[in-house]
Amino acid sequence: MQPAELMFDLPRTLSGSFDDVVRQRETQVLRTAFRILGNWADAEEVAQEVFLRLYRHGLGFPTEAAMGSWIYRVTVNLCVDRSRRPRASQDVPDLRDPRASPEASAIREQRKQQLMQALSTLPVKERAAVVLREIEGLSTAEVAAILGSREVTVRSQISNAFGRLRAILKREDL
Amino acid sequence: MNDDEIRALFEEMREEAVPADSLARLRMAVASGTQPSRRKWWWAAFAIAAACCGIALLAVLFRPALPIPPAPAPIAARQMPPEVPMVSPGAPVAPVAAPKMRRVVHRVPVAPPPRLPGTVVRIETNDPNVVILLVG
Repeated sequence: MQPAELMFDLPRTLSGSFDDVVRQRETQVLRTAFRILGNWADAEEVAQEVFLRLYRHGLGFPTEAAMGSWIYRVTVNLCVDRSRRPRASQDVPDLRDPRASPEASAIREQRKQQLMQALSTLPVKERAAVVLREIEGLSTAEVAAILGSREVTVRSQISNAFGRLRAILKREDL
Repeated sequence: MNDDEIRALFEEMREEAVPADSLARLRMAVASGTQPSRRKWWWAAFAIAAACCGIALLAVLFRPALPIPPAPAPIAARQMPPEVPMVSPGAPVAPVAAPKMRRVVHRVPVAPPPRLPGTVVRIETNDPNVVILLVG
């Protein structure tokens, strides 16, 4: 059994219908795609494609964890493919322009937006590793299994990403 | 901002809700893409339309040849009514008087029957092959 399959311990719903799986996973897929792509429209298209592929693939996974790992892997791969295309729009506001987020009165919200803006500047593989590890809360082993790389590589990617994020946010603070 | 602050912000993002309209659009798109009945009907309609087009094409390509009608008679051989000369309307044409023809009676002289030298009495018998002639 893959290390990633040990996780995602959701209650087993493999006997459920495809609609049940969509209801259960839609938020996770949509949020992950948005964090990697920084764009709701692209995230919706990716999520739609993920579920259509799941429909064609069928629900014949041995465990719930295997299905979760498969869904994450397809989501990340589609996001990587899509990030190579030029993006039409970016939902994350450009914080260098103070007029872009006039309603962001709370400092915390502004920090989040700064962080998302900084995240969008990272290479897509590093971005995916950070999103899966830090936002989705997966373990390093799970992230490595989803990205098809080693755990050492994932740790290195996350460490590099944090270094870049710190530098970007420090520049923003100045 | 240090690593702990960054991680804390990321954890807060984990709890953020997804926009409801995005979820609704996603559900509609997935439902329309995976509804088997609609897909079957669409394919059935497509198959029927393709079959109709194919049958029409075959009917055009393999249409049976029509019987060749007999060649019309040449115009010169046709019995055409005599052409009536066109007469322009104008003054009434006076009827042409037909010339009077005289009836010519050819008189052929009739030769008189030859006279026999005497009186001949012809007596026919019951036998048609036997005729008695009395000359004198």
